[in-house]
Amino acid sequence: MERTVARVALFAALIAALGLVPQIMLPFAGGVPITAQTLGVMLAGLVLGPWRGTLAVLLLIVVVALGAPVLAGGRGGLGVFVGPTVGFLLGWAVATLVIGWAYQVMASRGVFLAGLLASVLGGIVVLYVCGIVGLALVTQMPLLQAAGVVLIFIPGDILKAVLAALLNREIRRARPEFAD
Amino acid sequence: MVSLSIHRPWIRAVPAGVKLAALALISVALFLIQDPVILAVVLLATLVLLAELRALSLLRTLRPVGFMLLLAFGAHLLLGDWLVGLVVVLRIASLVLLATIVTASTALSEMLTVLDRLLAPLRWMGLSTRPVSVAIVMTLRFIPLLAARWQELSRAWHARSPRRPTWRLVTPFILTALDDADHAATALAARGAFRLENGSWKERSPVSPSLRR
Repeated sequence: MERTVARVALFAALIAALGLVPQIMLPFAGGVPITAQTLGVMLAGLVLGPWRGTLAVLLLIVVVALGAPVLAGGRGGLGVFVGPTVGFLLGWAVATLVIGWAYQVMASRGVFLAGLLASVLGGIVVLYVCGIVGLALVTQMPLLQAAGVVLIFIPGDILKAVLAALLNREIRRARPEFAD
Repeated sequence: MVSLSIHRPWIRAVPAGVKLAALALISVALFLIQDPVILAVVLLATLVLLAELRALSLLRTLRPVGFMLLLAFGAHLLLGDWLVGLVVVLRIASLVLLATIVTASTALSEMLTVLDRLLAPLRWMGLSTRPVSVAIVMTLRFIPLLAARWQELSRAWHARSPRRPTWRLVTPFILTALDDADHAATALAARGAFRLENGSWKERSPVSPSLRR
């Protein structure tokens, strides 16, 4: 119990802290800023597993709602929940669940490959479905247009999925005793 | 971290629950209203409220949303219905500002109290909500700590390399955080953080007295 609460809380804090890492601009994606925060979400699923990972993300969402400016760029508070990106924020929880579950299913096929596929499935496919639906609802855009708007973020997220898979391998190599 | 705060006494005196309920109602109403004139009046009223609160600097919270709103407006323009685009921009701008006002004028401790009240049904069902409170406080405490740790790691990197830190720093960052978590877990267990006392978890709350109701 104590261990679960501590790891969940620490990972929520970790995702928040990754938002403080300076944003990288991708030159090939038209200068779209990418933050390390989605990387944290992917790692929550890969490292903590589906349930604890999702709890960590839900905890972070609660902390955002309480008003702490813990999202990338110092965003936070209730404004995020009525803004156009709300689908992505809430989608983080769904994405983490899928990432953790997909990783556990595929882990026997190699840590890196499983991590990459799980991150792409959860952190890109599932997350973008949530994000696009949210954007379409908030901005009254048809789903297709909403999808077109967020496509520019995909290159950065593919990069993050690769990084998440690499980091997950490193972490498991450094702490082989670490069980989910 | 940017922290926003409104200090006008009258709005701070309004109970957090009232502000949150009002915000929820206004949100629903604004999503139902499709008339750009009414929405423009709402946005204007919001701006007047901001000015009254001496909080026009909160307008900068619109910047991260602005990019998306601009894209949405552009998409509606291309679809041939710029009026819908205008409605969306007015509505979201008002909502984001109003929500920010609620957040900026309410202390974190008050928000925690509201959350505690929302979790009450779980307690009636006999579940302990203690771990939730502990986790929230731990997260809030660990964010600055981890941010400092990141700074430390990048300084160590700079001492050894002329290049900028890369993602390679993330591995030691996460490993040390996981170790911290295990230490914190040991400390929690040693203090009996989740032991119930007379069925009441509030007696030995790790929440500092100022955060308690």
